[in-house]
Amino acid sequence: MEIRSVYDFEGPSGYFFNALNPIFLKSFQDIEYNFDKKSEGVVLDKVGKLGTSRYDIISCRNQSICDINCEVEPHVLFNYNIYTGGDLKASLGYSVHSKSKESIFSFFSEKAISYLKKYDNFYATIYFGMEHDMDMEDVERLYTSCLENSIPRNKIVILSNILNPEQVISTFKKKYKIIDDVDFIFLNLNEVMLFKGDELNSESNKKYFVKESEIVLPKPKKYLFLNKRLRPHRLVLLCLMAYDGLLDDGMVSFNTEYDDTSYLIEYINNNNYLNVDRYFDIHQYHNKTFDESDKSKIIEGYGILLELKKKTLDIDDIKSIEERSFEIDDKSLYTDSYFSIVGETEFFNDYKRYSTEKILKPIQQLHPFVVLGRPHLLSDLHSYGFKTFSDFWDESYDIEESNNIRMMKVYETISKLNNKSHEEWEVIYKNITPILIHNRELLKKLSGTKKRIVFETNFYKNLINEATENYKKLF
Amino acid sequence: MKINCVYDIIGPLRFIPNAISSSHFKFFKKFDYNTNEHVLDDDNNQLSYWDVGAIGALELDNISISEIPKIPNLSDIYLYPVSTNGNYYKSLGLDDSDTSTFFENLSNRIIKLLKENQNFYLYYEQNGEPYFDSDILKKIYDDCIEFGISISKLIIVNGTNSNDLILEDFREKYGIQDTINLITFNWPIPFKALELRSRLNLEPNDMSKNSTISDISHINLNKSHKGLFLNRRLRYHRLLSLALLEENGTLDKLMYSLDMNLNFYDNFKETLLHKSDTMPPVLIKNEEIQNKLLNGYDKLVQINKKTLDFENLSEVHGYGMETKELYEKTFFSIVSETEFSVFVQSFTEKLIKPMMHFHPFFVIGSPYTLQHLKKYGFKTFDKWWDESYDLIENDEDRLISVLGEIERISNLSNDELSKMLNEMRDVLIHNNEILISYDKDKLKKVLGRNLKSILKYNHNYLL
Repeated sequence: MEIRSVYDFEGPSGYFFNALNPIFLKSFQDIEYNFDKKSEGVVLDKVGKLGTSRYDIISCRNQSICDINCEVEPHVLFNYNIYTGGDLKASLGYSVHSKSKESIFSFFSEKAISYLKKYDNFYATIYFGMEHDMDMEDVERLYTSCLENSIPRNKIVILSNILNPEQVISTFKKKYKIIDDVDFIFLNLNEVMLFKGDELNSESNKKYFVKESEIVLPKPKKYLFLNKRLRPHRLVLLCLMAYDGLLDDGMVSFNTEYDDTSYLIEYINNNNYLNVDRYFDIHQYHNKTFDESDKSKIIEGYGILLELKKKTLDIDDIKSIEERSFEIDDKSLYTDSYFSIVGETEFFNDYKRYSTEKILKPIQQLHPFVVLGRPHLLSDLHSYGFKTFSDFWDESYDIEESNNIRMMKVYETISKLNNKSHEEWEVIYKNITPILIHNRELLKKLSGTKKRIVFETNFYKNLINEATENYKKLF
Repeated sequence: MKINCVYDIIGPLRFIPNAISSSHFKFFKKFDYNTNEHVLDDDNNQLSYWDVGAIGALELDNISISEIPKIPNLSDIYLYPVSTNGNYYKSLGLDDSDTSTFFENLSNRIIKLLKENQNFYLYYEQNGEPYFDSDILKKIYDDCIEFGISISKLIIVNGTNSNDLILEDFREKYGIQDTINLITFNWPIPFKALELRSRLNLEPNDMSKNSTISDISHINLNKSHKGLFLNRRLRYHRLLSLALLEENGTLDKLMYSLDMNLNFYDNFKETLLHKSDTMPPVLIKNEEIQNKLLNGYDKLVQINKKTLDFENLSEVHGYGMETKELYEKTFFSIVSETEFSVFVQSFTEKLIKPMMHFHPFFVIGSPYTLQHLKKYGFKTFDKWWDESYDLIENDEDRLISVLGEIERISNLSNDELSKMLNEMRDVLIHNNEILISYDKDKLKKVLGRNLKSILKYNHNYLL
């Protein structure tokens, strides 16, 4: 088995990233065409967000496209590597942060396009990065970009942590009555999991994680709820908690001045949390809106939050950690609280079926959790072998697809757990500790160093044998 | 000693010419970054990037600069080729429209390698127009200083056979005594040899497919004119020649091309009489000749335009546009070379054309042109006419001498010329065969040997 990453340009400091808009080369020339992360930052300051950047997801040999011969080496999988830098919209040319308004597909070399058409062992892989946002507009752009640039969709591998691409694609196809079966190849790679597993296995990190012996009961606080960016769903939950006076029972961080939250009242009153786009089903309108009493609670709670302005725990200045998406939190936050409330990235965009590092942080720290996220997040965790806590509290929120109902169910669960006495928690901990240990051990086994070979082998097998059963998980 | 060719950037199809302006990449995108294609920039200027000719013929190993180890192999030679793309002035930022020099586009890596390693050289090649002078050399020298590169690490290759005179002038004018590698590359020989070989099906070359080449049997064909005199851009010495031949009644005996729209000297008469700001490139002191030239020039203005095989002379160029009928209908060629001055002794593809078609020739060009040609084994025609003009350094005397001989030969009868042409048969075949012999193997051998001599022994001829 051999996979090689293929690049259009090789320059004085190594390979350029593929699908680079050549108008940016002038800026790269100033830094000797150096495409590592550090120098990219220099260019980004000058030209705004780029559509793609350099990241070798597969740990393999790199080669210039002008040196490869797909016919002579049929057993080599040549991978034309594209990395979106975590911003698919910029890659597709419609990010507000990007200077270029053209799709990465229009910057594929003609040679790469001809190889995609001609050779079974030549693919282009678009890796989304740690963020895995893909909405309907992205799908439309992916389709049109391929059409406009004569790029065969079935040779484009989209490597992401999205677990339901078939649902997104079929919604799109149904809407536009597309019946052909030539499709992108979606492969699931939960790189966040590999990364967080690596953190656990690192000797130098050990001191940052809670040891079994450090689980000491009773704990001073009921819950831990960390908030950096106040996305609407996190804000709504905070409002409900503020309304019911739960904020003093736990360890909670938020800052209403870090993000603009002034939209909230209108957002709730006008039901702006509904994604009313061309895919919206009007018949479900009433099933998906908060009832009036919940709306009142949220709005009243918002008033309380504004008065409080902020609550801090380990970090006072949130701006100082903007780039630190993978920080390891102070372990005392976990030893001093019974459970985590995980405010995942997606909630109201309920079709975006992916998870982030946030759900893995309590697993690293032997902490049970309730998750405020999109539906089926817990069942997706189960699919990797993780266990959750349905035997001890209500996790039916996970299968609730109506966002309003799910929000209230999550809140209800949190509220009940918050009201449990220390004695009750002692009983719960006795029973859930094996689960906490199981989950952390599993995450260690899913580390990048251990799983990389597995996913690369699966990646190779999937493509080279044309066994392109779509939408597969690589591990 | 292995010689490697080093490139900063390898593109999807091939290497990208070194010192390309990064702002030009976008224009080549539609051709998948094939810089051999002709593209226009945003202001409709043609962007031109040429491969280096001699290095290309050598078929050296092209390597990416990123592959070079931190401590390069000392037994190897590394050449970093840069082409002037046919224009020294643009390449060095001496052009009014663009003052950026190619040095600005060198990678930091190559500058460091040139500074730190004896076996790295910047190979700077000018193909095309052979003009070169001490001021151009001074700009190269100044740029080297600005970018911290010793000029001795440059191999400056051009089509001039008088580099020693230019260097002497440079040293005298600027008082600089540094070692400078000024190398002569008579590119027109392999350039036109490829076209000839291609038409004889000896090697493929698409660009020559429209050319037709006469064979030796043309010497027995009936001729409509005595000589063939092709002119495109009307440089000063060409205007002088045309005017004098016209005034003396010889031009009618020739097949000639002329387009006064391509006249470089609208102020020809004033220049001739030293009444303009323009210094005459050829000083004509003889008053009788001056008068003839004035009259002849007026007649040229009246003729205005005369074409032979191509109507639009501004679109004619030196490759792939050969027309055998012109040679079949005439006994000899008059080659009006690009340069005329003793300081730029050179020849271009124009001098090679008659030899492709088994034609004898006169040269209106710089002194010693025939002598330089003979170094390659070509023979000329001193057995049949006076070629002493080739040794005359005074421009006026040389011009009068060669035109006088052309007139004398043009006055011979067709029978006399036919007899002469048949006597020349062996020489014509010999010249043609020498040209044909410049195949890939020979070029590789000769260029390789000479390049090694340049690097080892300060030899100053590449070809």
